[in-house]
Amino acid sequence: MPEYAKALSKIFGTALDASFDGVVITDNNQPDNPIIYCNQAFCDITGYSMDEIVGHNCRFLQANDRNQKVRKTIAAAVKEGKSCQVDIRNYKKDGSLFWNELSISPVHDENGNITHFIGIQNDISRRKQAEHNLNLERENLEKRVNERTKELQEHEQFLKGIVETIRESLIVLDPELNIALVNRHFEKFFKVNSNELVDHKLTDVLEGSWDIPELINLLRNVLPEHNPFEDFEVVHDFPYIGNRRLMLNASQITVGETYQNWILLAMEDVTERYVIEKKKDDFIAIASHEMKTPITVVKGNLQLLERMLNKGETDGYQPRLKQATDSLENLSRLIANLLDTSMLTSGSTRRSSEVVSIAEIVNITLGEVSEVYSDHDFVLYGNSDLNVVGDRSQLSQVITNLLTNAAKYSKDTKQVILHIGRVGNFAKISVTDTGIGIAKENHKRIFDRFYRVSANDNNYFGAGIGLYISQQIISDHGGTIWVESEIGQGSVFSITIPLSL
Amino acid sequence: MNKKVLIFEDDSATAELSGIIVSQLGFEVAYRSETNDVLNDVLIEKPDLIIMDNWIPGQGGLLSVELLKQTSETSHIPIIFYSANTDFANLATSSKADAYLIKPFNLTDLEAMIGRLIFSNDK
Repeated sequence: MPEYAKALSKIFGTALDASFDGVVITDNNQPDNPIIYCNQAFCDITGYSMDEIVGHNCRFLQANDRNQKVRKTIAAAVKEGKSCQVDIRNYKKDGSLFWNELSISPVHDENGNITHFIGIQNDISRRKQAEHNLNLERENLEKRVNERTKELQEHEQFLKGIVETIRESLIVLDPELNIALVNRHFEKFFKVNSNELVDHKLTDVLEGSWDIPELINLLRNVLPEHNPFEDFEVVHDFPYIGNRRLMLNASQITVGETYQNWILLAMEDVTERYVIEKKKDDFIAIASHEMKTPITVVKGNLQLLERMLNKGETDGYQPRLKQATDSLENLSRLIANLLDTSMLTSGSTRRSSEVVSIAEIVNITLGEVSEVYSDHDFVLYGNSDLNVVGDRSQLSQVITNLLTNAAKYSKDTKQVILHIGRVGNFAKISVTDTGIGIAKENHKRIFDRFYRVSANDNNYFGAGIGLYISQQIISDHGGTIWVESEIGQGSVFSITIPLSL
Repeated sequence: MNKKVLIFEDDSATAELSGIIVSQLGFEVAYRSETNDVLNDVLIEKPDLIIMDNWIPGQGGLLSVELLKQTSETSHIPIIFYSANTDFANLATSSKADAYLIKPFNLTDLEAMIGRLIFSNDK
């Protein structure tokens, strides 16, 4: 049997030496658990020879790195006689660190006493390093993801800020023309809440007011081919906000997988601008027409005079000369008015401030106008013994303008009534004609700079500029100007000017 | 029977001027200063030629020309359409007027036009 045991021991020894795991055995019956055996792999891992190892406690492998937490786990296991597994930092003979995956198991005798401990160990430095790198990488990645997320959130906030600040209505549509988003300006402009719009079809919302065939055709058919398109004009009667002229820009966008062929629609309200442009065009058309009219008369009369001169005729030249002169006078007044308009608009007129007698300026202007409209009947009544503070020539201009208009537009009846009176601390001057009258809807607009009564009603050519100037002058003087009139019933133009007290 | 020209013109000086030319050519003249009832005016006056201003109270020159040229009783009467409007040439050529003049015009042009058109219905 000893032979057999000996052979077996040799086989075990060989087997242990063939293992890649380091094996170490300590004797628990001797003080401090000295190492009594280690295999070749243990020597290979640690760099020590067996002779250098035997007799030491295993802790010699920890060198000066003595504060590792896992030591407590080992100590507890040894004390309680249990097995344990730990990863511990050990040091090779040359001082280099290696991570040791250590399993410790106690060996009991037949009485249950612990005789030995067997330690199995592995150099897991590479695995540890990989784990460590992996951890680092993970932490890095997490940090980078956090940073990137923050950046994206900030970016989104920033873009959102831009979108919300922009003074244009923006709407985002999915490829089926469902509304995905509208900005605040859109809500404000159309007087709607985005809740009422989002996830609904563009053609269904706002009582179908966006169901505009040309627009839908544009978004569905034109946009995919001509992306982006700009300046598509829509004139439409929208709920809550009425008739509006909008300029639309659209672009089709594809971002990643989620946003394929989405549509961004930006709209600008050009209603006011269009009205102003239109008024300006009208003004130029009227101004040039009004200038050409007296020029026609001057030219015609000069040609007639030339003929008379050639024929040696002297009869009848006077009315021709007078008509030419009067027309030139009209032309020059018109030009002066036009200049006044631009100066009043740019605020470059200088207004003198003196005490002006209403009686005086009314008498002078009435004299001048009644001379031009000699077949008209001008009636003056009331109390004109009033003084105001202001610019004499500007105030005269207003009265002249009102009298001239009244005379001009009451061709048939030829009667103009001028009433002057005191109302509170104001002088009130009213000019009444018995002419064609003005429709209610035009009462305010006739004082606009570029206003003329619509193309089908050609009755008020030339009146627009004068009334605009008058209104500017009177409001500069702290007064008001207005009209009361009905079609066919004549008109009463009234002004008030603060009295000089 | 003397030929007659009906002038629709709201500017009295221009109307007078055109009237002088018509008279000097030896024709009769009638005037209207608005276009509220053009058809009736023409049916009453029975002119051989009409001179029509564009910007004139009432329905205005363009609609008046259209109306007169659409109405069988008046469609044969030649119309000289004139105006001080900018871009009047386009407007006038698209209308049914027989001739047009841009203000300010030369008296000789007006005379030539009247002379050419006033006898156009004579056979």
